[in-house]
Amino acid sequence: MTDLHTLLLRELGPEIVCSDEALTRDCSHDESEQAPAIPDAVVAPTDPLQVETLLRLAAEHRFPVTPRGAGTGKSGGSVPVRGGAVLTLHRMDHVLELDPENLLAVVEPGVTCARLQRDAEAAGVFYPPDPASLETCSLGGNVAENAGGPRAFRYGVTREYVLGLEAVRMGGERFDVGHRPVKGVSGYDLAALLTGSEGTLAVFTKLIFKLIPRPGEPGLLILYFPGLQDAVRAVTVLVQRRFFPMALELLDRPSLEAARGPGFAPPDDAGGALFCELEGLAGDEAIGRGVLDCLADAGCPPSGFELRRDPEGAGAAWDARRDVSKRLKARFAHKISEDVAVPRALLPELVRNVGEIADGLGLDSACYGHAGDGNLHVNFLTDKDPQGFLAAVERLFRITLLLGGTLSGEHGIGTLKRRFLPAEHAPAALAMFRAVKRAWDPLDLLNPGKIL
Amino acid sequence: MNDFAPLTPELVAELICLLGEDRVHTDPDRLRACSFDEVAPRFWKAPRTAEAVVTCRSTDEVSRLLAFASGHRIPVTPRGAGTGLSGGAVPAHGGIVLSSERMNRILEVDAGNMTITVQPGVITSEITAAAAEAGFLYAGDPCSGDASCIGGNVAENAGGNKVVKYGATGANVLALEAVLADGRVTRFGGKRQKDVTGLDFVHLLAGSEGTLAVITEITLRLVPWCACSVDLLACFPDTASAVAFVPRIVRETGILPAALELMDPTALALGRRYLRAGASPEDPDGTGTHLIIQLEGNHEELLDTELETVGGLALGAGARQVYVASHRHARERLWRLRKAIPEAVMAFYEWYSKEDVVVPLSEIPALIDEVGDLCRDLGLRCATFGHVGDGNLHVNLLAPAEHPDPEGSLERARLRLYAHVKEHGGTLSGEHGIGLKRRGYIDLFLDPAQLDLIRRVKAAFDPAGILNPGKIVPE
Ligand SMILES: Cc1cc2nc3c(=O)[nH]c(=O)nc-3n(C[C@H](O)[C@H](O)[C@H](O)COP(=O)(O)OP(=O)(O)OC[C@H]3O[C@@H](n4cnc5c(N)ncnc54)[C@H](O)[C@@H]3O)c2cc1C
Ligand SMILES: Cc1cc2nc3c(=O)[nH]c(=O)nc-3n(C[C@H](O)[C@H](O)[C@H](O)COP(=O)(O)OP(=O)(O)OC[C@H]3O[C@@H](n4cnc5c(N)ncnc54)[C@H](O)[C@@H]3O)c2cc1C
Repeated sequence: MTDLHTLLLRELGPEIVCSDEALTRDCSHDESEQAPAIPDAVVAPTDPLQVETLLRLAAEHRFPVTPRGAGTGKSGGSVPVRGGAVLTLHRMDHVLELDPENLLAVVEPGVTCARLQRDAEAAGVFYPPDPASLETCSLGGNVAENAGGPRAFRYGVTREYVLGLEAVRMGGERFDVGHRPVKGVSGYDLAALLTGSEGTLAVFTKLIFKLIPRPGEPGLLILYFPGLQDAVRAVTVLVQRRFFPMALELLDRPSLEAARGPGFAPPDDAGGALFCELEGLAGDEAIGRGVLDCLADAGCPPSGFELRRDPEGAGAAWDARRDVSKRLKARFAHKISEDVAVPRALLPELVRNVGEIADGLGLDSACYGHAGDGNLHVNFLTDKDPQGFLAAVERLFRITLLLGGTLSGEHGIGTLKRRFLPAEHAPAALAMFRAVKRAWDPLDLLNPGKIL
Repeated sequence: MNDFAPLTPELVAELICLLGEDRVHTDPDRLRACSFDEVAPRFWKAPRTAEAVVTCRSTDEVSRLLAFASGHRIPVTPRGAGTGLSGGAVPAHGGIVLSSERMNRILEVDAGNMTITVQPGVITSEITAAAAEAGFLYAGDPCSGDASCIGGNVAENAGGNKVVKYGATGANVLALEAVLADGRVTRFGGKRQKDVTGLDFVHLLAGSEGTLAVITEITLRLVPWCACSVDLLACFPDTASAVAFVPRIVRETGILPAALELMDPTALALGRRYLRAGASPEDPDGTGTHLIIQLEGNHEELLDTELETVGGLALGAGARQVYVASHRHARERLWRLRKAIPEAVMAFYEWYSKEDVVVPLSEIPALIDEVGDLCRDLGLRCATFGHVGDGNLHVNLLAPAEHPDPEGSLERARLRLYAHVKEHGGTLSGEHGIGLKRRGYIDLFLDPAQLDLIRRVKAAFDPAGILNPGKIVPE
């Protein structure tokens, strides 16, 4: 038992301070390549007051605190790399308010994304953000990472749904930011600043989300193309011709292979595919026709397509899509996954370069993701020695930045991409990031070692 | 905090050396013209006058100016078109007003990525026009769009008529180039739709009212035009029935309008008088409250169905009439009246207070009643209009000419209004900002912990406190 554990046990009690070894091990890693780090203590509060106490103690006794949601992060954000306490919010999991009249929900941070979606649906409204990890990831983690997902294409990322939040700063001071109405400009937009801050500025204890009216029952149109470039071109065509599907996801050949399973059997000759989720398709087949006609008209018709209008059929395909990451991991001895985003029209350029980088280094690659946003999950894969990964990632980032893109579209910087940050941001910008961090957390105790 | 240096003739001479004579203006007329915005100057008892107006033409010039000002501890107040409604562009501590009027170029329209990149001094409606020419919609749409600058829109996170569907200005900003208080130049964001690399300073700077950095370049997101759109004018017999109807549109039909605007009888009468329009056929006795409901879509038939659904619901909810305006002429007539109201208030009243409160939709009816009561108690009138679909009401408190104590009553009215807004879970300003006008009230809404964090962010960006001092938080 560590000294910190003893201290916290005394101050917070055994209900909150966990002595369970399995949970402690769970809290040492996330879903990224970041090496695990065992925390000195794990605190699992049920109430914001306990969060206040922990952060007050941390400032007094100078130990680091790493906030944690569900640990599904892909950039090492919740790994306690400097030891200290992990503050896991999974027990604060109540939906406090669901208000269809005012189109808002108030939740605790440990509620999963899928739970909010289901509750919203039951109340006749809609919460669009849908990271592929939605069944397990926490809304606190979603806000901290500004998570995206397939529907960000049409509906925007998590930030656009955060109206306000309650949070606790290092030192134990609790505060509210934002507002309940859909807009407000009283003071700085600190809710926007906190969104995507990866647990480095404050710990969220309550979140106010905007909801929207429920769209018509969607269906899924899967479009297969001879080559990946054809699929990428189709994205541009659809957007320019005013088709804004609810989601527009790209899968290359290796990703399609990984997705293959009982519920999803792509044709063998498909070089790429688009998952095109269309509002109202469930009730009206003609909506799918519109897309096919548009592509034919633009001279890039798919080589094949599948209409999945029923929720089960569509759901099975979406499950397969969501499992790509996991299955690629199982198929190859080594995998590194990146999350770059480029201006949408430059996606073909990015995809071409990924192929060249992989070929040049003798690696396999798989690209899939949120093509409509220009946000691609680029995976380098190999069964051999993974030492080429480093060069592959460096080249990928170089070309991404040359194209006016960004290192991470939705997974965050965490520990893994930290050292590349200066390649994207000017020294003055980095200095301002640091200055704001210092202004809120002068001792650098809240999630240290992340982003900066 | 207030130990700023005066701008002595020696310093002015230095400034001229640094930027050139045609950039530095000190003639009294010019100084006065750049020392207020659309808030009546009597709001601040002591005169607030610029000591110099500087018209930079490039980012580099802005950078040199800010380095100079930081070095000498001279306040710098950025200024767009001066249409602000919170005193944001008023040089509260004198010093230099930095006008963006000469940084007014549209730099690029990128159809492939659906973005437009502009300098801060471009007029909002020029952006709308350039986007339309390329086949896109720029969704920012403040009523002042023919006059306001995009830099001012971003700095205020301006709202307008399309927020219900497209979000406020900030939601449409993808990237910013900014000059920090010490003159360093940097960029945040880019043409990508998503970006979580580092902290989100794009959306922190949006709405920061010129207190954190000077914005020198802006990349905005464009969206495809909807193929068809119409305006419905729903005429209700009174404000109570109109506002009770508002939340039912989304809840009962699932249809999200592109715009949803309210005009109460006083607002309508003022607007008509300003436009010299007679009583309208829609509202012969001038007692009605009107809603403009804009619907849009890509399928004509679908839109027709929606139109009928919403129109039918309005009639069922007590609307006396519902008119459909689908042709340009009819639509322009509707919107001209709506957009005339804010100016009409200023034209016809000497003493008024333009409030910009927001509450959750369900709270609007109660708030409307309370506003009625407090005006009655204090001998005031009230014109209420605005972006009711967002819960954002421009409650314009008006003192009749014969009122014995307009100033005191308006202050009492504000305090009562704010107390009600707070009770209803609302906030002080939905889109006009805090600036100089509302900073004395902000602590009614933000807790001390949040104010402390705001001050910390400000100090991190601008340790010398030279950028637009005296705004947002009480000193
Ligand atoms: C199979 C799979 C698919 C995925 N798909 C997507 C996708 O489509 N889109 C996407 O964006 N991401 C995706 N992710 C990544 C991940 O799920 C998201 O980043 C998610 O938001 C993390 O949530 P979490 O609860 O697991 O957070 P954690 O991993 O526990 O933490 C993530 C970060 O948030 C901070 N944090 C957590 N809770 C709080 C709080 N209450 N207050 C302050 N900080 C907090 C942590 O300190 C850490 O920095 C995927 C991950 C997996 C494994
Ligand atoms: C008739 C009328 C109707 C209006 N309707 C609306 C409406 O519908 N919605 C709405 O939101 N507002 C409305 N407004 C308010 C006003 O037009 C907006 O706030 C607008 O955004 C101000 O733009 P401006 O260029 O006039 O800015 P200014 O008034 O010049 O400045 C506003 C603020 O922005 C800062 N600023 C300006 N340029 C920069 C820059 N380059 N870098 C950093 N900071 C800068 C200034 O310091 C100041 O704090 C209306 C005003 C009027 C008079």
